[in-house]
Amino acid sequence: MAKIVLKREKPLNGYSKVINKIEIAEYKFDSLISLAIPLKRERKCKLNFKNSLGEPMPSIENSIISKSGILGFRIGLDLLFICNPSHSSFAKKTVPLLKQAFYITDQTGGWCGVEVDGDRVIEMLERICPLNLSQKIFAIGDVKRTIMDHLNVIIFRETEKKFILFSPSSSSGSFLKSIETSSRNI
Amino acid sequence: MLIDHPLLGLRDSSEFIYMGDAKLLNRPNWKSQNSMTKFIDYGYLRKNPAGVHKELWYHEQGDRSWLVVTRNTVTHEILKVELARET
Amino acid sequence: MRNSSHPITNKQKLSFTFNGKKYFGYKGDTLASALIANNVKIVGRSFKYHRPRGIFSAGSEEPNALVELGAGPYKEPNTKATNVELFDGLEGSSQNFLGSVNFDFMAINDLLKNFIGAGFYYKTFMWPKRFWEKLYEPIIRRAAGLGKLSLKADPSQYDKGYLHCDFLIIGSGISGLMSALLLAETGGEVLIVEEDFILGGRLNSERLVINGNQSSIWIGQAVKKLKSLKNVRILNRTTVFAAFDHGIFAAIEKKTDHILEKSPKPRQINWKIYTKSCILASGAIERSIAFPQNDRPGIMLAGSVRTYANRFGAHYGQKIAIYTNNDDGWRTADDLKNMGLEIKAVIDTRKEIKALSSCIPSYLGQTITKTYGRKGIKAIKLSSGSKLNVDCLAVSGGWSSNIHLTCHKRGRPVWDNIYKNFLSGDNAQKDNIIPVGATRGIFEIQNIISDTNRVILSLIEKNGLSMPAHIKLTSSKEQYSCSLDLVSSSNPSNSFIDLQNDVTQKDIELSFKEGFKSVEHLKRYSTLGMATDQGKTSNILGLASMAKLKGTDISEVGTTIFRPPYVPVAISAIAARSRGKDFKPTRLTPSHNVASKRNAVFVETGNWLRAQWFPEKGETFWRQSVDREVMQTRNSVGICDVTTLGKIDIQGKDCSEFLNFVYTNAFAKLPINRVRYGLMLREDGVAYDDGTTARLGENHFIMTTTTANAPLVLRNLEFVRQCLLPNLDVHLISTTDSWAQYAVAGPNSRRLLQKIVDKPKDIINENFPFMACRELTICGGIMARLFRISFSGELAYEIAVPTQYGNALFDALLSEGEEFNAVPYGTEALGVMRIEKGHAAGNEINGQTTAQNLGLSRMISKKADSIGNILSEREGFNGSNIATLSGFKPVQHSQKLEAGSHLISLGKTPTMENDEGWLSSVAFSPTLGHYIGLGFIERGHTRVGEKVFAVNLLQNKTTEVEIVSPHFVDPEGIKQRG
Repeated sequence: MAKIVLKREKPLNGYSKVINKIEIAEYKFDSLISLAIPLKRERKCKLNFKNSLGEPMPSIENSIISKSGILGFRIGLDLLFICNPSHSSFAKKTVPLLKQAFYITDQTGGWCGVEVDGDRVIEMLERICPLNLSQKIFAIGDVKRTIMDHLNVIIFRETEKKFILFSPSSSSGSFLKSIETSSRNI
Repeated sequence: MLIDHPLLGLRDSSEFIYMGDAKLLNRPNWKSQNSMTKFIDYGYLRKNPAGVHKELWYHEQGDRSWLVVTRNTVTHEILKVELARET
Repeated sequence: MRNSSHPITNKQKLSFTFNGKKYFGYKGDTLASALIANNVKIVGRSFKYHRPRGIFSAGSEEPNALVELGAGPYKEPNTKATNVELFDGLEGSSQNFLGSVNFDFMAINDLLKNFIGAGFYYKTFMWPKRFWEKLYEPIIRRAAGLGKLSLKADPSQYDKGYLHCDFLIIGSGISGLMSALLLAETGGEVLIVEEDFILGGRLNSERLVINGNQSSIWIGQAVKKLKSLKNVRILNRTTVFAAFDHGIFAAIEKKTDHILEKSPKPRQINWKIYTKSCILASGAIERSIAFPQNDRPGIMLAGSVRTYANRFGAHYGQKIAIYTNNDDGWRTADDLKNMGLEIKAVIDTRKEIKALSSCIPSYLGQTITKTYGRKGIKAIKLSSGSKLNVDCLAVSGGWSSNIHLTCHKRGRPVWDNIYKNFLSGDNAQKDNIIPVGATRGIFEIQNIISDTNRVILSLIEKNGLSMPAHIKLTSSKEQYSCSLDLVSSSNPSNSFIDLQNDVTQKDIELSFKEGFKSVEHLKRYSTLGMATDQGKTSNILGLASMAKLKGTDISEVGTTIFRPPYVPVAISAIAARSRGKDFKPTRLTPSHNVASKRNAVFVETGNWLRAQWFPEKGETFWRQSVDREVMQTRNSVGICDVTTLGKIDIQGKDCSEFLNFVYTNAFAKLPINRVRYGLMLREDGVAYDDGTTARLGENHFIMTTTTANAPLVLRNLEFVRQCLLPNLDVHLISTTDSWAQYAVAGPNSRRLLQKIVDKPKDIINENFPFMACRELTICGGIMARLFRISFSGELAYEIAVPTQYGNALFDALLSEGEEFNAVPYGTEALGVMRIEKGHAAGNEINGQTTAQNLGLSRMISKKADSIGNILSEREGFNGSNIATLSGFKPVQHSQKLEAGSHLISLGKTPTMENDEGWLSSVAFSPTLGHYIGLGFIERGHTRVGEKVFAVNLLQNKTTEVEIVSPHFVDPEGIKQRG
């Protein structure tokens, strides 16, 4: 039995900074998995989702937060993401339950989360985000996938002025720089 | 340019990849007679009209869906947007 | 001169320099108004003839007053002085002169004017042809150049951004502000964009009365109201420069141009604006009249003279004359007289007009036939013969609606014969661009008020929004009528049509005589309406001139249409923040930090940075490092980061059917926990991509793709999934970033991995043979995937762990590998070893080669349909003569090979007819001690042992090479199976 211990490293090493009163911080999660809905199995999946997480399966571009703080959102016709901040029984209990209906892909290492929070967040996001951020179009709890500064980004609105941005982990340094530049430029 | 995605609403063209004539949806049967000729037509002969055209667009920076967009190539007016898998 | 009682004189005093001389102005001035107040008349030299030119207008239509601002790398040429907001410390200078602006040596061109008319350059410098690039063009460019670039990188920051609204209002004059007030009440998002630094548009230039007070009071109230509303946003110093499809507009906001201190903030922002409707309240632009010597400094547009007087209290001279073909010119006379200036005369081309101002000396039905004063107008001569001494001449040829943006999507303007003006055609309405006010061809304020109410309310009604009450305003009463007397009847070579391009009436005549009669030809032949002002003040003159020559109307002649940009836009603003290394994002591999610490040299492969080699102490040349890495790997064990290969997670009941279709070879019978090499074709039968696909479960596969094709393969697989086989249950997820993956290769690779995995027995050869794969745990329970695949030909594995453990695993493999002398290797050593082993890569699968060329034709299963299957049977791809993948080695082992060399039979000359193939990849093989190559040669597999020439015509080098098997190392595959 090997005695080597591998240290787990977050893509941004727990980065946190305030620029122009915008709080920018790495959004830490324990695991991030995607759920694919098998062909013509939407009904079964809905039931399973409710049983597994205690909340109804969200519709496209909507999200749920479970009682234990698990964030679930639907990004397409047959694709959902489950982001689990710290819930310890998730891997042992919830994932096996979900597996009964969904195809599951672990993407924990694939994404980097960045929280942005503050009164000037919209002004900052205007510099990189092509989406309409008006609450009439992009309500609290909505989630959309788009392109920001050449990068694929999933953007989730937590409150009026707080968003979580998920971008691919390999380019997370470039994306953080985009956010920092945007925050400085307003 | 904006494409009215059937599931997601108006989205900027920068999220999409263009693949031209939607006839690529009609792939010939490989067992059919003259399948070689049919595949050559399929692969090489694409329509490029000045006017209404059915085109394929891929929402690569979005939900990864392939769309069939009916677009007037002269006025750039978009007349219809459908999910390719439902056409 | 400055009117000392004007309110601007109470503002902050600012100092600035122009052509090195110090001047003063006030906050609120433009550079142009400050220059006028300081009586600076010559501000530049004309483009072609180098004639002295002065300020002509008061806006972005300015053809003459192009100046250079700033110094050193900050220098910006071709800036319009009329648009520059004055600030303390501004440095400006004239451009396009040799010597000084007051005595320009290039003015000799003016005397040669009769020889260098339209088309002169094209005709004269035709011969000899080779002189054009080297001799003529540089000289002409220097003589005719506009400003000069600093040739240094622009140190200013620029940014871009996105704005969304329901109503975009372009312009903040009376119709723009009224539209905003009305539309704000619907609750929709309103965005007002104003080019100027103050709001109010033309109202700022006039002495109009609204609701019984001067109009500035009403502007103040309207702006205050709008600023208080949450759904209204106002951007001043912002110019919309382009209109695109589906309600998208581009605008440049000047953030710091009016501030001297170099700000760390972006200088300009390039906004992309999305709107449901656009209200175009961009006003109108005054045009000139062509008459002899109409370009002298001190000759200005009448409306602009009024602007400078009313808004800035600035004017040239004391003896002012007005030359007009319409009623509006008379307003300038009134306003200047009101300021206490002497109006020498109003010359109106029209014979019969209503007396507009009885106490001003007027000359009706007359034209100006000559002007005097080279460096500033001194006198004018009228058609009646009388000569008047003047020091400023205000000219009005009537007003043109500013419909530029309505043409960007090919909207065709239509002629309005009442106001002698082009209006936007029907296209604008269809594009949801709604002109209001003067943009709609309405020029009298009382009518603008009623018409704007009507147009905006009907728009609101049409959209089914809640109807606001119409805005009740009382105002001054204006009257406007206009004639089309725009063209001089004498001295055409001195009558300027287009000041910026020095196009005279004679050039239009020449164009006509030589058959360039259509407006599009006229424009290109004469350069009328080109360059930074796009003929905003001159186009109509050119058209009127051509109409006269053709004996027809302007409506018959038609007009060219406007294209973006409305005003010049700095390239830096288009690039915005995407400069240098920020042009594209950078992707880092999981081992990047460890590799950096080990001094890796990185190479850009797409967006990825990959370790190319790891130099050690004493190694001065890359080959030393690469050869060492290869030998250490082949002798013991090496580790390479292969995370960049595309990794696609494929799940679903119908996965194997799907894979059978996208690969040429069958995957359905691949057992669980086994890996298979797969080849993909394009539908045209050409090889597309290759890689290994592992089966982790009945309904679960992991596909790998080449690094370069990773996003493209996913896109094409999604096409198959959604468009060709929509009834299959298959799901595709890119997991390239989710897993860190390392190749561990060499005879000690298993022993090294056994130190890492939790159950070392699981990976002994009997339990885990070549092409096996499995999920397992390492380092005390960390989930991992192990694949027994080999790109190097050695006993080798690829191990994958969740990315967050990647850096630590790379480090652990190296430190645990110390006892084996383990080595990290980069992409170069990877490449050398795959060439030694004879594996095809991007150089071989390059979009021109087929499975047959690659020697893989037996991989095309004929039992089932697959992409490219049918077209791979085409005649040209098959037959005994096709080039096949072969190995090559120099007959003289000391000789170097060059990739790209052509292969020619011995004794034949290197011609296209004799070309039999090419070398695609070459490397020095440290294992064999000489160069080796992979390549394609006709019937290669039947010619092993034959000698041919590798010819490199670029280096004039011919090397004799022997055709060998492409598998230089371990052709039987004993090592990788061991």
